[in-house]
Amino acid sequence: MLKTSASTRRIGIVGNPHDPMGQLLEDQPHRADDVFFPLVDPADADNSLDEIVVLSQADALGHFPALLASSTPITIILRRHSIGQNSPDWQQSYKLLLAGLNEAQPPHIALCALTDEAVHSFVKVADHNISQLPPLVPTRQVETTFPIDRSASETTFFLVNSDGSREARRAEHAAFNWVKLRRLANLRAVDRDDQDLCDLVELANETRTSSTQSPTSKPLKMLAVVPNGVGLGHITRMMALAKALQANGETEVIFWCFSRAAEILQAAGYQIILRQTAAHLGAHPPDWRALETQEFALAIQTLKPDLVSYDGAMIDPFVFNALKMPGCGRTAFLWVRRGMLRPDSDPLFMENEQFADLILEPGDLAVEVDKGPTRTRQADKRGFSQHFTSAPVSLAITLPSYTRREAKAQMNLGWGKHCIVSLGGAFGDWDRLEALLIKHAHANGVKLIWAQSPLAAPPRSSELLVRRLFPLSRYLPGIDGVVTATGYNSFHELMLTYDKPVLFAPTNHVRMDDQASRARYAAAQGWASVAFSDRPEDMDQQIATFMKQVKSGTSVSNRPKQSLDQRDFYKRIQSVASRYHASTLVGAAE
Amino acid sequence: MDQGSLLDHFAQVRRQVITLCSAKRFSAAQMLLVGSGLSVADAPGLWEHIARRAAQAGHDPIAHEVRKTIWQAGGNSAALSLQEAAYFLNNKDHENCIFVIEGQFGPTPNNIEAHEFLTRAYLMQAQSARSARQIRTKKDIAHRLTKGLTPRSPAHAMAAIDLLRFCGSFERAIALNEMAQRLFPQDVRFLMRNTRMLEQKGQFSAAIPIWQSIAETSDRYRIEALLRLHRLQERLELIKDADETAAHLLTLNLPIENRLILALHLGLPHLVQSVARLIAQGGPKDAPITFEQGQKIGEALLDHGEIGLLVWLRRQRLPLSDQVKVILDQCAFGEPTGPAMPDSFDVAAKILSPDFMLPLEGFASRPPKPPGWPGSRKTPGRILLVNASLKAGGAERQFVSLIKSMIDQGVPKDTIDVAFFSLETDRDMDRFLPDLADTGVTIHDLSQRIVHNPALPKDVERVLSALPIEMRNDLRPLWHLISEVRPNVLHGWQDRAAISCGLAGYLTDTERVVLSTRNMSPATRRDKKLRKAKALFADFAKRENYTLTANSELGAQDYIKWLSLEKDLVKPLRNIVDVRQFETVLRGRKPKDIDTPITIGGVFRLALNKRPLLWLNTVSALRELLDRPIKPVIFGDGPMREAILTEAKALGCDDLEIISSESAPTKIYSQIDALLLMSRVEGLPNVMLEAQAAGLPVAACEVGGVREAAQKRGDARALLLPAQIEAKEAAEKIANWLPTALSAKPDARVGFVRTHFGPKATIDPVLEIYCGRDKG
Repeated sequence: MLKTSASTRRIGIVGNPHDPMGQLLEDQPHRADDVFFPLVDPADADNSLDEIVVLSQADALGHFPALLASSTPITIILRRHSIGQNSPDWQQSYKLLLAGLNEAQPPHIALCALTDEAVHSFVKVADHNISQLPPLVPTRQVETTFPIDRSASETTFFLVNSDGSREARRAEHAAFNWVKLRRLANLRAVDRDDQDLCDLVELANETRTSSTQSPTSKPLKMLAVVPNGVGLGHITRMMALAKALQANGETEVIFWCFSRAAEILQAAGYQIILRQTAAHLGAHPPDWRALETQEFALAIQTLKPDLVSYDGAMIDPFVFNALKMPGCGRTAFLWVRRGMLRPDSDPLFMENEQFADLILEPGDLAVEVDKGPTRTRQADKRGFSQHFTSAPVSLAITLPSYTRREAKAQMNLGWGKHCIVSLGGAFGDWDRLEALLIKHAHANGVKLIWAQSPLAAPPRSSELLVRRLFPLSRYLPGIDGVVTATGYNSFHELMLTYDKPVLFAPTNHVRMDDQASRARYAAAQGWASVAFSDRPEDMDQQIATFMKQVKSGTSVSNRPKQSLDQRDFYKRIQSVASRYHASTLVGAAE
Repeated sequence: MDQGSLLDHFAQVRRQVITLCSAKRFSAAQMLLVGSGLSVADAPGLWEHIARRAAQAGHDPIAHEVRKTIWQAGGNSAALSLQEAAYFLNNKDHENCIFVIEGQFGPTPNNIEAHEFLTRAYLMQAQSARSARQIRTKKDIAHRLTKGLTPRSPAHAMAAIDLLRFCGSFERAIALNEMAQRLFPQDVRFLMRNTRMLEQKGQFSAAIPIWQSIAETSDRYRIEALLRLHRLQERLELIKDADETAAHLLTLNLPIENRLILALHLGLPHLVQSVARLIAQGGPKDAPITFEQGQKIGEALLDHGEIGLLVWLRRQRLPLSDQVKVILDQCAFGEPTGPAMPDSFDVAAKILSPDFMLPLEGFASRPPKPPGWPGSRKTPGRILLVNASLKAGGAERQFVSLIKSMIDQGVPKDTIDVAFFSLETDRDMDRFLPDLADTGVTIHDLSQRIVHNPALPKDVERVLSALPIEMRNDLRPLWHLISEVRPNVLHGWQDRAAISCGLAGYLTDTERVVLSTRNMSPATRRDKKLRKAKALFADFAKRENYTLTANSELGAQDYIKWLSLEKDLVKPLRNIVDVRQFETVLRGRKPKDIDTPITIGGVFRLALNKRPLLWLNTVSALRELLDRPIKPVIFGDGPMREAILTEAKALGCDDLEIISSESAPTKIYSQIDALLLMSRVEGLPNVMLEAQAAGLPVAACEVGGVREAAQKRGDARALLLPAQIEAKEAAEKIANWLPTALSAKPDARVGFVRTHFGPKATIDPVLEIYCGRDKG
């Protein structure tokens, strides 16, 4: 478990961990440095807690004996009628609470309510010393209004863009941490009978400032979640983006890494927090998710990143669950989502757009043939997300390469022509391909080097030289040809930085992108040749031709050159992250 | 073998058997005896010795095997039978226990030990055969076994008392319990049983001080007593007391299952969720949840319709009973044929039964109906009407009136079946049964019906078993009855029966289903339990072959608003009052002298919603304003009786008379001169119609369907008071109105009731609905 520093106040939260009230605690001025812990049973609270906040009178009643026995100061936040309750429930639970308090007379328990009106409502039911919650830190005026109706799960609203244009958007209102939400929109309670919602909205909206003071610049901090995907794509792309940010400003990047190839990140000098998936642990998924949510939320509270990023299509809900936990509301979410998905991919995953502040689609040179859902469909629930398609992202662009001599020396290669075979991770049926490559390489006097993936088994043939080469691009000057799968990173690395013959061998795994279309597109442009494993009859001739090109030292000059504008990317990220900077907002209020 | 050798052999075997038994080597002794060739007939004493010693040493299976051998050899004796019966009882094998005892001692044993075993075995049989945890015992067996009984032990007494309780013979049970209290004065359980029976008889006020005393004196039963006390206080609408008891319970470190049960009972969803979150984490760290606790938690959640939380807690590996697990498996959460598996606690908490089953087409998977089904009919066909009971109440009286009027209008009585969930005499659930029996219709008491094949089809069991307990208990016997009677029309009267009939109608493919609510919506009445059925009612209202009715226009509108329905989906179906039955009252009424007191009558349940204290204060204030004496009389009973009497004393209304035993309308209205109602909530108040049919002036607060029930013209008009009014203001208005109203001719009142609420005016629309002609 991540540790907090000794100077922070530790606050136990009793109640629904996604209760907007619990989320808004982070915006109380005196709680700026507090760290919040969900407290399922107050009887478990050790003396390390500085305060316990109970989010409703019902939660207090549920744990009443433990709260009475506690020696920690306790604040019970009284709540009025909300949807899902019978109308007199809030009064009954308040009266029960008072009856219990009157019986025990505990000196360490204080009551408060959200608004002045709420305080009066409670006092009217039964008189007691109830204080009003302090105002939250001010937020800037915004144009967008976000209506909330808790009897419906979704909300439709008009997002007012910076140019004043209005765009209809939908979202689940429970998708947001209210600390974030109150900075993105003016909130409006649709159902006036939902008094608790009205109180929450009043509390969230009441402190607005019209100050247009520009954000103070501060180093950027990104917590990058790397899933345990197929191949090295996620890691490579996130490293490329991390380097792009670091190249343009002071940026700290920490990886929350599920990938078995975490060693690559470590070797590159990044701080990593190595995690295990439920499958790795053989754990019951709901248990694992609950634990991962708490750990990730604690990491966010202690590391205080400006943004959390995630590269991949399928995002585990623990990420969103954690971002909705108390203390995690000032962190933006960047979703890095490449295109070129297979046309038959289920588009449901796109509904996660509502959770994102920025969706970065790394450009694909083969975008013309992209028939996947990210190109042909639009998410129904997009929330406040902005979408940005960049030029292609490649780690190779950001790294210096060896010279031909250095590369050969690093790979311990002698004279002659060398061709690298890099077929990526654990997927693909390459037995036939491997046999034909060996045959034609031998016929043309080309030596084959097997680029060993940390995620894959070594080749079957003992005739091949095996090398661990990451990132591959650094070694390319010493190589005369490349046979590779057609994943996003390999494809763009080679097309953007390499001018020797390339043979693409696309994989057709259901969890992967549409590599066949990408490879076919490259072949049609004359950038590379392609061998399909499901067309063995053509393979022999294609490989023979390719090996002849390698042997002859052929160069390809028409490959494209455009790549990510790093400066622009940095600015966009900084702009998104600064929306939630606490210091900026407090400064604006001054 | 000669005689001497035989004796030597026997002596040798005997010595060895005794030695082996002394060393507790009973199996070896048994094998020795078998190997010796000495059969049960040769050496019964040795066989019995092994059986007896093995039983004494706690080696029950060996003792049982030896006894079985003796039994099969025809060597059964009274002692052996008792040992065998005790063995079966300990192993919960009630059937074999009954067989052994009745075989040896007959159906009513004189041997007191045998009697105890038999009594306990019959109770165990009822407990194991219970449907949805509702225990039913057979009256003949209970009466036979308890006649003239003096129990030998507390267990014997409790079993006998429960046999009587669970067949509805409360008077006998109470008498036996009193004897047990005398025989075993230290055993608080008899006091608790006595209290529970008082509750079952509706004597709630008497039960309260006993529970209070148990809570104060018994450490072991304190929590149970407080929980019961709280339920009673809520039932009696002693809100302040109930809150104090609940608050006290909440400050106690209750076991987690009791904390949840209390939260469920309080009906505070957020409190339930708060406790359930703790359960999801395995419970308090210092007291992890045991299997028994898990079972109780599971059953409590199921009984209260918290099916989503139950599913979630099962995923968190809460130990559950097999029965609950089977029910959850039938629901098939996360499977193609079932609802979606909740992916978070918050989502799970919103999945409630019966809402999660809707639409029923998806969950109950009945075969599709042909296009145009069920069409309309010329005659209703076979009709089954269902109501909760025939206790003394306006809705029950209306129910009987409806049936009488249908027969008067030509519906053959042999096409009408009527069913009740309970008709227990001891609890006064059969007040109008003689009236109904006179009509000649077929009457079914669902609590006493014997179902020979209780198994249900899979799709029906799937729905039924996942319902909250009240609905489950009602629906099971009703489904069996409908399957036997096969009515064309199923008519549920009042909300409780309407819910069951709505579900049963769908599950039995009944052609026409009519659901008659008799009051304002549960939201207006602040009825927490019935509010759970909101989605179900909305679903019923939208079905083509279903008709929802309310007994007033305002009631219909209230349901429409509550259920967010289109405006015509709840039809008003008015009360029936036959003015002819009040002719004797009208004729018997004579003008009163100026000195004769005016009797102001109230006819209502003595409950908060009827505002009896406001009624009393109004009458008291009226006395100050009128120059004639006033006599207050209330007909009714209920939880506020004591509070009313206390208030009457404080106001100086010592002459207040509360009459609880009278339910005949003619007798009630012949004793009063004017009717006053001060209710907070009303449907269409039948008493207003009846009073006006009897020619009486009526004054009432304008709530619910009061305006519809009031004759509003001329001197004989009713007085409509504001819904929110102080006693003094109400008294002033009544004082201004009453003299004229008393002297007015009653014809307008009688005519109003005859025209709008006469049998023909109401029955014709009912028959239209029954025949499916109301749907156009």
